[in-house]
Amino acid sequence: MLRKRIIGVVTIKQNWVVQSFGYSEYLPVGKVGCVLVNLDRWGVDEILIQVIDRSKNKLGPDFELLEQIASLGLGTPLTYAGGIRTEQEAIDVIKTGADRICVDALLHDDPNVIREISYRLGAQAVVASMPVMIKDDKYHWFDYRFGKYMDISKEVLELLNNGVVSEILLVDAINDGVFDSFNEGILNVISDSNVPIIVFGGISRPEMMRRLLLKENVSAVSIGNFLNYTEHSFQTYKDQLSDMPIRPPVYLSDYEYRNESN
Amino acid sequence: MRRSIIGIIDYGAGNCASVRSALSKLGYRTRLVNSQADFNGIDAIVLPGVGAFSTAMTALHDLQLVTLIRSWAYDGRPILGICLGMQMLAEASYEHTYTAGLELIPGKVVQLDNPKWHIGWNSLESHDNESNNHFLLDYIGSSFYFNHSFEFQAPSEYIVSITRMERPIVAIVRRDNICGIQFHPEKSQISGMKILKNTIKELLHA
Repeated sequence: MLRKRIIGVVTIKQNWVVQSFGYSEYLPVGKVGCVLVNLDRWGVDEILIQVIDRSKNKLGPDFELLEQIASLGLGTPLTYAGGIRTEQEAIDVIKTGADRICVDALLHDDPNVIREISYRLGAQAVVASMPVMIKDDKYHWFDYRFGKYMDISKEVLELLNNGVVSEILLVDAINDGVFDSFNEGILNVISDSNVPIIVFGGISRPEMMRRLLLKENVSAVSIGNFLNYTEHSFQTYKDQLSDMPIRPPVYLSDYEYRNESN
Repeated sequence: MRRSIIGIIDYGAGNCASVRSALSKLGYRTRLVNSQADFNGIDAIVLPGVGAFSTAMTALHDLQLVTLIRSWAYDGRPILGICLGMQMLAEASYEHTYTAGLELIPGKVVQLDNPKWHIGWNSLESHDNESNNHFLLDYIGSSFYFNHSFEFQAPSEYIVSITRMERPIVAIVRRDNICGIQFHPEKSQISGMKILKNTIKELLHA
């Protein structure tokens, strides 16, 4: 049975892992390597790193960071977001060690490039990030680079619906980083789509995760800031969600397989 | 004792870094292979892969690796294909266009349908041929990380293990000393490292 996933989101700004609050305030958490090694050790189902100053500053993907991460030898699937502008950059991100790429700014700037990336790498390697909010009963799409909300274009909705991407990272932009506040209403933004949804933003308690995991179109729940507050928080979440169709928590040390190969 | 050297076929589209790191953790020496000279002295080859089948096969042809890999296989030497690398062991794929594969294990690669993708952790189930693949039996029921939108449809005699969405999907194929794994053992944490270790060991000593 294909399990639903709980994803650890790592937000990176100026080479440091930060906590993000509403896409506007940031607090430092620590070094990238330390945080990723911990998530890997805790057995998170997938790690999504989002480097939030790459697209804003038109810097392209952070290959230096990706090489540092590759040298850590993580055994956890890795999705990379941040600065991808071209098909070749997406390919190079995968070659440097990411398993999938996530695009956000590119949805605003050039959806055709996403089609090209999907053709070359396969849709399974492409996730679309959609930060949204509900205001006056209307859905608004957030461009975090400029702090502006706008309508979701028909072109983007079509792209999300026609198999170019394999999952949509649906972010509650307003409640990003706010304890237990994810607005489940935003799931209706793309209610016509049959593309699985990864939910993110203000998800902190097992009760909310359970509600979201029970929704048919939700393939994964993502947690960011709230993984950093306690040791082994990921396993604790999984223990509390043991009735859900998820992979059981991992507690084993990885040392047992080392140096026994020949 | 001499440590085995695993050659990782580097054709410019694979996730070589992750596979290399996993094999090094297991204690193997590794070498990236993209020319005839690189084959000297290696004990097994791993064919990794992410991306489109046709692009990957074109890259193998451009590097003149297709004949070398086939010769390696015909000599009965170990090959492990991972994800796209597993699919490339097939006769052909219908991804984008009809493209011949390495033709080392009978079968074809076709698009998944409803759902179109298989992404996430899924468990292995045994298949009829498990008596010849005892080294994998410990992993039946364990979960591994899958990430693909095409599948390898192989004759039953070559299927070692399946996984399941709405229907069965081939997870592991084997023909003699050639083995293909649809999931990513290098990204499946402890379970993945164990199955990778046992599979390589089995292929090296078969």
